[in-house]
Amino acid sequence: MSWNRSDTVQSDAAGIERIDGLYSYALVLTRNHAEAEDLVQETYVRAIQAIGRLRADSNTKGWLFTILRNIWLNQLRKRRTGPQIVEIDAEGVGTVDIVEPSRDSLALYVSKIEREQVREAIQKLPIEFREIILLREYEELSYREIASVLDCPAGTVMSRLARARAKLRVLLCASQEPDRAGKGDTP
Amino acid sequence: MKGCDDYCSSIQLFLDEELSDQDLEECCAPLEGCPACRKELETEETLSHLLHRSRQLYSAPEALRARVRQTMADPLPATPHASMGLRDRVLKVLAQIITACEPSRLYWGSIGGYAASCYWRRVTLAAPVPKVTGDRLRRSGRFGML
Repeated sequence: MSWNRSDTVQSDAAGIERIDGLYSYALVLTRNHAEAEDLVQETYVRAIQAIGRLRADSNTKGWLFTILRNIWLNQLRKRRTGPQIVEIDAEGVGTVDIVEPSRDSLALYVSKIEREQVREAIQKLPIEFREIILLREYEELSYREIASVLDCPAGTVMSRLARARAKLRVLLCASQEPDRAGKGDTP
Repeated sequence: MKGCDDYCSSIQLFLDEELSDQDLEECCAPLEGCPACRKELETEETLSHLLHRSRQLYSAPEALRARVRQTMADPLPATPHASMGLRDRVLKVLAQIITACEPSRLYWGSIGGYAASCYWRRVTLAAPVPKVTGDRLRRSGRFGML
């Protein structure tokens, strides 16, 4: 059996193109590169095994994220302890450093710093806020799709997302304060 | 009549494109004239733009990408299987219990020996564990009693 039963090329492409999103979600959940990689691979293994049961009109993206989350929850249950918090390296593997020739080096530098600040701020959030920010802001799942992945009512998604954004805004402001202070000191 | 707080809570729904057409009209009208609502909208938009600029959050390592491609090209059978860890534990327990039985009981002793050999192969050579079936055992000639 293969990932795709019907339309081979499209399904393969759709499957592999989700890998960055799935890896980001896994990393947001585990905060550990090795665990995140295992989680993603296991997700694909399970997805391949279950692809035959997926309806043609199903939301494959949400389905993959649900599988990943369920595997992670099962792993947590097995460990019978809370999530192991391992800080991600500042210069972590797999970070995105896209070189865009049209931008000048200063803009690239600012962009890189900005992305780092966002990553750090997100990783400082509680787990329920981290995952909802990723699912909405980066994966652009609708409230209903997020509710399905998180197995909670859509109203909970709305309120949790609002609190997550508020908290993230505070963290981002705090992370940008030293920069501003630094700039203020310079004559 | 809705107040600013109600509109402010709708701003996130507005930015997330989660409002119905009717709600959209109700939400947009006060945004034009209310400075507090406009300020709230700007604040939310700023955060939203910042997050969009930082897409994507992480990129999967090439090694993982290759492993996943391999998995997709050569997947495991679709039927559910017990995990290898569980298989190991079962074989280990079988090997311990059955080999402890009387050696004169050829049938149980042989099964214990077989389980032990499977376990040994799994942990040392990482070789695949063959399925134990009566047919296979009969063919091997080790189980005259079967």
